Amino acid sequence: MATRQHLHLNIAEVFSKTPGPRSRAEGEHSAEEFLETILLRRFDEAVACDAILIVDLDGGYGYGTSFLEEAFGGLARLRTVETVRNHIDFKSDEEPYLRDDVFTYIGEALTGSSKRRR
Amino acid sequence: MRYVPWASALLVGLVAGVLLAQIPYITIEKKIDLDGMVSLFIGLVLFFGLNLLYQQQSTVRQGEKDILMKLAQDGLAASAMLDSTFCQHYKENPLTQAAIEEILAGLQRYNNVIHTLEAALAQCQRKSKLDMTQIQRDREDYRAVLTDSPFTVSYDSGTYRKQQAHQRAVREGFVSFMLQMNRVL
Repeated sequence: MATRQHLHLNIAEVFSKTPGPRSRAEGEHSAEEFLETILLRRFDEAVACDAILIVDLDGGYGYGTSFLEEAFGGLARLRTVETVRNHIDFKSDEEPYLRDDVFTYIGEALTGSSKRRR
Repeated sequence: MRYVPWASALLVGLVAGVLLAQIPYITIEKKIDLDGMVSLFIGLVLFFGLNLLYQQQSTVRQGEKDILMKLAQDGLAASAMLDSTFCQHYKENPLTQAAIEEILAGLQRYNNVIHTLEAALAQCQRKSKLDMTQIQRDREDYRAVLTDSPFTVSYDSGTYRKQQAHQRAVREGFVSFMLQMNRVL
C-alpha cells in the first residue's frame, strides 16, 4: 500500500502563539479567522492531492476549547466529518491528549454536543 | 544474608526437636518414615512457595496503589491550583495576556496529571477494575468551562458559578477514584 503524502501546518508558526476566542466578533486571532484564512485552504490542498494534513499544535501557549471546536468542528461542518477524518491528523508532544479531544470535536461537529457540553 | 533466616529456622527446629524428645512420656522412633518425609516436604514447599508468591504479588499491588494514589492526589492539587488561578483572574475584562497564559498553563498541568494517571493505570495489573471514564469526562467539561468563548477575551457573568460546580465535580471524581482504588487494589 502506498504511503500518503503529508502536508504540515503549525498553528503557532503560521497563525498565532495565543489563539483567541471562537468568532471574529469576540476578539483577535479567532478560530473563525484561522479557519477562513488558513485552515480551509490548506485542507483543500490536502484533499486535492489525496494527502494528510498534519496539524502541529505545539509551540503556542495553549488552546481554548472554543478555538479548537470552531476551527476543526467548523471545518467538518463546512466539508464533511468523513472527509476531515480522512485527510487530517494532529501532532502534539506538549499535550498528547489534544489529538483525541480534537477528533471528538470533529466527530460531534454536526450534533453540536461539544458546543453544548457545558 | 538472605538464607540466614532459613538456616536459623532449621537450627531452631532441630533444637526444639531434641528438647521435645527429653520430655517424659514422649518417645521418638529412630527410623525414617519416607512417606511422611515426602508429605512434609511437599507441604513445606507449598506453604512457603505460596506464601512467597502472595507476598511478591502483594508488594507489587501495594506499590502500584501508592503510585496511583500519589498521581490522583497530584490531580486534586492541580485542580485546586487551577481554581485558585481562575479566581484570581476571572473578573479581568479584558483578560491580560499574563492571565490567559497562566490559566492555559494551569490547565495543561491539570490535563498532564490526568494523562500520566491514565498511562500509569494502563500499565497496572488490575487496570480493568479501575475506571477513569468519569475523570476524563470531568476533564473535558472543565476545560470547556474554562476556555470556551468569550475566553480569551473575558469570562461571562455565569462562569464563576459554573467553574465552582465543575471544580466540585472534579474533586468528587478524584475522591471516588481513590476510594475505588482502595477497595480493589
